[in-house]
Amino acid sequence: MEKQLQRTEKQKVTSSAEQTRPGLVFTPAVDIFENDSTLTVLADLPGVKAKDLKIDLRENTLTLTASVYSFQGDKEVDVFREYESGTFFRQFTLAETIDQAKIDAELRDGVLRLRLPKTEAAKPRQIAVKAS
Amino acid sequence: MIVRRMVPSEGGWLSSYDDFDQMRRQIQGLVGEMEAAFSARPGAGIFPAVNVTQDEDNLYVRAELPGLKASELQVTALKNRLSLSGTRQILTEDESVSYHRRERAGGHFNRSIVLPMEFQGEKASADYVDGILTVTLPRTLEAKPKQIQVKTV
Repeated sequence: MEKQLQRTEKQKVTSSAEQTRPGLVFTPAVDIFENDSTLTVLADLPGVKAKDLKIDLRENTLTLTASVYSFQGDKEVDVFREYESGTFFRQFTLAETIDQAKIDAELRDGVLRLRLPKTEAAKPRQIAVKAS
Repeated sequence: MIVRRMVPSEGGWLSSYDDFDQMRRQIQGLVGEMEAAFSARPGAGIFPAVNVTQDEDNLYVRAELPGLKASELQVTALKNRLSLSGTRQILTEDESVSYHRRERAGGHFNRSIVLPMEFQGEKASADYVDGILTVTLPRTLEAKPKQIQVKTV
């Protein structure tokens, strides 16, 4: 039996510190995982075009900011509304040392895949123990 | 005594009673908005959440469905009923990875919506762009607004 998808309310950001622009701000759902060489972030950003997405990494703080494109035509009026759209915003603190030059981001069908390769120094190394 | 007028008045002086009257209307307006915000969440939590809008020609149903393929989405229309179903697959990465966050949910969904008017199901179209599904449903001639000319005798 396949799992049924449950609807979860979009997480609204309520902190006053982030309200530099008018409009609603939402926290996107993310998956974060890593292996020995790369840290990967997947984020659900429905309605975001690549040009409207900003990814910023400085001093181990990764910031995602994305504004949502309005799909609605000018003459459309609401019949009923179950979700709101606005800016997506989320920040992460990264513990690993990331090779900033090799960061790779791909946005497809509203899902961001961000690959953050670790620097050589941060990769775990197998040290061969020599027997004399 | 300093009197500060919070509400700019148009058309001359208002009596103190008018000020109260205006305030009462504003409060009523705010309470109305608040009630609308709390009650305007139909759909009983069934995935996906949809927004329905209309213009003169069409009804539009939109849903946020990030990370699907167009082939994984089924949209069916019958009379004034629209069904959206599909499966959102969250692929498991290979076993060598360790997860820090796992918030994105996958699974099957099936939602049926009854729209407030009939539409021409055979002319309906669906687009999936940037994770947003938009279903365009042309209104039937009967459901389109008609301009009625007012004649003078």
